[in-house]
Amino acid sequence: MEWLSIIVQGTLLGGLYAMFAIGLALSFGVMRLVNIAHGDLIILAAYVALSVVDALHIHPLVSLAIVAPVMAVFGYVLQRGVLNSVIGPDILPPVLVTFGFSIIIQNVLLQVYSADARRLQAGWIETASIPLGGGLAAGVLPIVMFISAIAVIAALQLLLTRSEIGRSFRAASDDPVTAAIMGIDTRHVYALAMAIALAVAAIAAVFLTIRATFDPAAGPVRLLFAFEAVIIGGMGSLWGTLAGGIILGIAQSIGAQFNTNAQILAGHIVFLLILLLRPEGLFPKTRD
Amino acid sequence: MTETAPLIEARNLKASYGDIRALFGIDFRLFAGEAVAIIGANGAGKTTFLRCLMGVVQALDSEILFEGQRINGVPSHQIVRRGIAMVPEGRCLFPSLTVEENLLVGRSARRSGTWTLERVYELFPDIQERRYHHAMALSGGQQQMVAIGRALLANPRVLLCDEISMGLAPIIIRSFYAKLPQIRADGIALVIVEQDINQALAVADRLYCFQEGRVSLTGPADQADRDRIVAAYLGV
Repeated sequence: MEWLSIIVQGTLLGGLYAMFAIGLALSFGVMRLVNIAHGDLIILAAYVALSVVDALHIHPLVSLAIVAPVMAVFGYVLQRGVLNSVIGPDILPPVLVTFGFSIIIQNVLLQVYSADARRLQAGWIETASIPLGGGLAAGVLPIVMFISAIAVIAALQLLLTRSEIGRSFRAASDDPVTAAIMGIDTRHVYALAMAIALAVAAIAAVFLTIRATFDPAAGPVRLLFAFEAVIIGGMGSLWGTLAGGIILGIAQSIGAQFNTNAQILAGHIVFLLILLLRPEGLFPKTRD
Repeated sequence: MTETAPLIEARNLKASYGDIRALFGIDFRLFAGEAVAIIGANGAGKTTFLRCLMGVVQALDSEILFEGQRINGVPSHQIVRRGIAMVPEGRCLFPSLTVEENLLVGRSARRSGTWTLERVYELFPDIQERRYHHAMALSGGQQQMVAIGRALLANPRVLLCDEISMGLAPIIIRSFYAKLPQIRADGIALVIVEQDINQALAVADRLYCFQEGRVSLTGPADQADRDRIVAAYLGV
């Protein structure tokens, strides 16, 4: 029964990891952009949430109504103003530029907010739990995170498959030159993709602020978890990314039973094993 | 006949791929509703010329006018919005999109006109049956129908067709060329790039023969003398 509980906790944690990963998967899927700053952008969103909560004295989850649009606009401007000029057939230039952004964001956050670890108070939701029967219980916050992840993925999947902008995302991903000569403004499409990526990152960030402490240097670890979830799941599949997040979460929960250091290590070991045994990931997209 | 301004006019058009010069000063005119064939051997610069018109390849110190306005340096997606659409060489369908989604991408230009999804299916009933299939699951001929339909949904004033017969059986090629008059009936001007001279001349009003990045012959299609075309085509 104790193991069952660990697996449930790990699965629910996987929802958060999936939300870390979705923006990364989206920007890679649509514009072949490997965003090294993605973790730092999540932490940036966490500090934006901190400032909003401090200024308006609202609940962290309510702050999302401001943080998500702010990050979306930031994503649009970042892509349109900078990243569009470095993406292309070669994936290396955007890696270098976003690596630079990663350092800049960390240092700006350090200047503005200091190196202190911060956390947001969310009241009863932090400690409340729901009995699942058989002596099993799960926290309300992890359940809300998990349901949010499913809702975000379902909404994105609908957007990608049913809407005109989703069609443009997929067309530009397949062949940007042909997409342009069919009338698609690829620079605008890429900027929208980054806007959505950072809006989802904002959702993940607000959950992060409630669940754990964060500091300006916390980004790279989130990036690592996001990368692992994307690669375990198989590039280009959002449900696969959720599966990747869940596997990572379960591995970490099991590892944590042995000792706290083993928590992170167990996740990395599972990631490494999957990379060795199934380098294409569990649910690769094999359409083209 | 009154002198009207050309729909497309290229003056002394030059273009390069890196250090390799592909076009050495092309003078080209296309009038409204006209069908013009561009013929020439492999590497003569036909596709490069179309890619210049679409803004994919940048023309060097030369001028391309569409409806009297310069379109050099205008991004491709805006050129489509002004009214030039292209059926690219090798069809270039989007592999992760279904047949119908591929067609709908053609509407991204947001030009209104007589070409609708229904009308494209009327022109090519074969692809309507397979509208929910993935584009790559179709035969070469059906894929070409999707590529043409996709370009028509932009409701262009000019349709650029780059080697629509490439890799297709003669009977299918003939069926495509038989449909071109229906497309022209709407007043859409055609630029047909072909290696197959007979096919191109049968539908064109005028022809341009390209040879190594230059226009080696031009004139009305029905007055074209075969010996001169062969000479202009091969450069012998």
